[in-house]
Amino acid sequence: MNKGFLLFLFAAILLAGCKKDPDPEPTQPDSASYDQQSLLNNWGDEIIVPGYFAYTQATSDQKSFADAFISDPTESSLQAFSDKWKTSQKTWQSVSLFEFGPGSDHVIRANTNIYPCDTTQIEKNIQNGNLDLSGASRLDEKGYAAIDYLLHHATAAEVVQEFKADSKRGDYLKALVAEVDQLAQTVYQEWNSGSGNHVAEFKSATGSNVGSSLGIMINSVNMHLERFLRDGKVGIPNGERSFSGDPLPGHVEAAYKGDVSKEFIRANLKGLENIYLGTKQDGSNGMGLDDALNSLGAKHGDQALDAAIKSQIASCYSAIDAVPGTMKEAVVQDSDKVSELFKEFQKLVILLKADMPSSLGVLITYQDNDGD
Amino acid sequence: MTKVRFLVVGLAMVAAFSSCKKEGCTDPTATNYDSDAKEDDGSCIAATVDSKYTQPSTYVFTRNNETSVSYSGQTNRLDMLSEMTSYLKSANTPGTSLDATKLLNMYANENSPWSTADLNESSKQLKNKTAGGDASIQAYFEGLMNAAAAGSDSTVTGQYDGANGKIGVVQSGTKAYLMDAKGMEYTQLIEKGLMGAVFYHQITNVYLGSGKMDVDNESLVDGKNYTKMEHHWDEAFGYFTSAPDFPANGTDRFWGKYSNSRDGLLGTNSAIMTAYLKGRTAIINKDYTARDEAIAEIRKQLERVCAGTAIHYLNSAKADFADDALRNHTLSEARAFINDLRFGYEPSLSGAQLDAILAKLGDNNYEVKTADIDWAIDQLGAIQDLASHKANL
Repeated sequence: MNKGFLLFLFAAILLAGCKKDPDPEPTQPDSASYDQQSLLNNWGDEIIVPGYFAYTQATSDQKSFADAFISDPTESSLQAFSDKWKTSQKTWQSVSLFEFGPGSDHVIRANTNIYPCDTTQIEKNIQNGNLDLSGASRLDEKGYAAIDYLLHHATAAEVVQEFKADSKRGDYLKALVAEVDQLAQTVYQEWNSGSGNHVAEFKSATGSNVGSSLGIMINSVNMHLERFLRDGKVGIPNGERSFSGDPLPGHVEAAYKGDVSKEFIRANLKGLENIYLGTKQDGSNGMGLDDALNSLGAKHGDQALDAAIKSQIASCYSAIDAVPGTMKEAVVQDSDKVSELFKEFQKLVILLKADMPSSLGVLITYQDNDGD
Repeated sequence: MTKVRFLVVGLAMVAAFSSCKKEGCTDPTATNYDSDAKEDDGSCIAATVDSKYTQPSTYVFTRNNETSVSYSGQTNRLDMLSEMTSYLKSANTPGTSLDATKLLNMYANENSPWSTADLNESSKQLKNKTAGGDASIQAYFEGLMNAAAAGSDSTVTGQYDGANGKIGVVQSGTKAYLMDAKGMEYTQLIEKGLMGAVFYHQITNVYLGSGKMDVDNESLVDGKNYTKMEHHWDEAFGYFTSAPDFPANGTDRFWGKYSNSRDGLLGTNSAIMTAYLKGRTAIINKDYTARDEAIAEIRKQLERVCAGTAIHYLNSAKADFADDALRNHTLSEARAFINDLRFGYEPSLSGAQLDAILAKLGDNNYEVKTADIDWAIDQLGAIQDLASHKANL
């Protein structure tokens, strides 16, 4: 190396030091700048595995109360079963974001909670005794939406009568609650350190590359937020995604029960918030993405990115509360309030899908837009 | 080195023949070749290959400062499939009819079906290169083209009514695809299918096969600036991409595109490009051991791209399992890539194994089961090193 070149190099280093990169590429953060292992341990051991365990208890309760109702249909056994259905679907909200590993292997989200359901086909299945619901075309004939329909599409007295009149109806309901429970048990077993032990694999996939647990979690949470929370639970029923823009009240979650949709939206947002803050199953605080972002000094404009995200999550909760009545009524009568909620979720998407991944060196890969 | 060799050869010949024949340069690749000369006098001035001993970083090779590379016929075929594909995709807008005759004309390059004179005047076509001209496979693609045209005729403007048991356009958000009554997307089966039956087959079996590689590499083709072997290698390259600076360019279509899509996990871009450059440089240097290493590498890496892409689309089908349009679309792509594997050179999975995978996926994308997709992914994981990547592809 000659002297001139050394001088040039020196100047280049000096210049690089004072150059502002206007649009930084995702960079690999210094692995020492936050304790990623603690984050993965907390997610795996304190949130995902206990979260699925709680979910299996809820699905198993739903199953036994369904059996009680089917063997003796009365208004009170129906009410008791309906309460367990609600608890089960509400518990589902906190684990529905984990569509990776065992969850995606078994496609648990699509097999458990596709709505609206196809009521015509459900009635046909009941009459034909068709209980094989494993094909892709059967997704809207089973799961929580189908159970909701069977339980809540008429008055309690009428529903009790329907089940008394035709045992095939009970057989179908039995198959539905059994599949929801079986999926929950399978996914939990495969995660649990005792049996499938996917949790060990999850905790050992460190780093931020494609295939790292951090990358997988951030992609899954974002995809769920966009497609299933923002669009599925809010935007689609409000007509934000249809060409006509007309509301689709029948497309809200739990459309037949009707008065629990907002509660489920809240629970789903809570599940996302638990992952972000590292909130353990028992409610105590553990290592979360907030800690990672703060350790890295991540910024959004001139405020801390963590503060921006926390305040946006709070805005989403407020926007849920600002929707009057039930979701089903609101998309028709107060569509603008639902639009506000949609917009707040959209703002959260921008923070979690653009700012957060680039601070953590993670690539968003799920929008694999082949463009064909 | 070559000069020295010519000199030795020349001396040997002088020693061997002590007759009185016209002397001069008898090497047809030399710049001062004398066609009347019967005896070499050692005066040959070798034509220089400018990039002889260094492997370039882009697919640029010259001789006497003129390019020695030519794969325009391959670029023609890539352009044909591009244009056919965009014509097929026009039917994703309901109420748009495809003309079967036009599709068949595009396939065989007859009756000037193309938008450019360049393609209309080209002597090249996709049909006669399909699986080496296998009539039954040509008939399979022509059947798909006829079916796509007939299916498009039944669509009505503004009606996205494709469904299980009904031909039509199936929609998801901004995406829409024309599908048959079993959720098979004609466009994918044709486009991705021809990628395998024409491009992949031509690369791995034809141009890198012994029939096209055990050829003259000593003299230039009449009126051209390349040897036969060099040219065949270039043609194998041209079926992969038309961009000499891949992957800076050439990631927009066909194998270049799918190599690039899998590159993050499989590192296929540089592996394939380096092998093409290595093989071409080896041919110039008559180093056939290195050339054969490059051939094996290209075959291996393209199979990884093909199988990796099939797994990727099967994973996508699971991720979008509840969305008819996206699930059927990705399953149609996956099926085509699974089918394509049989066109490789000595495929890792036999035709019977590939048939079993396709049979497991069933004949109706609306009725597919996740357990069967999982089984298919596991089977494809047996190819090369893909088992370790299958979850992330």
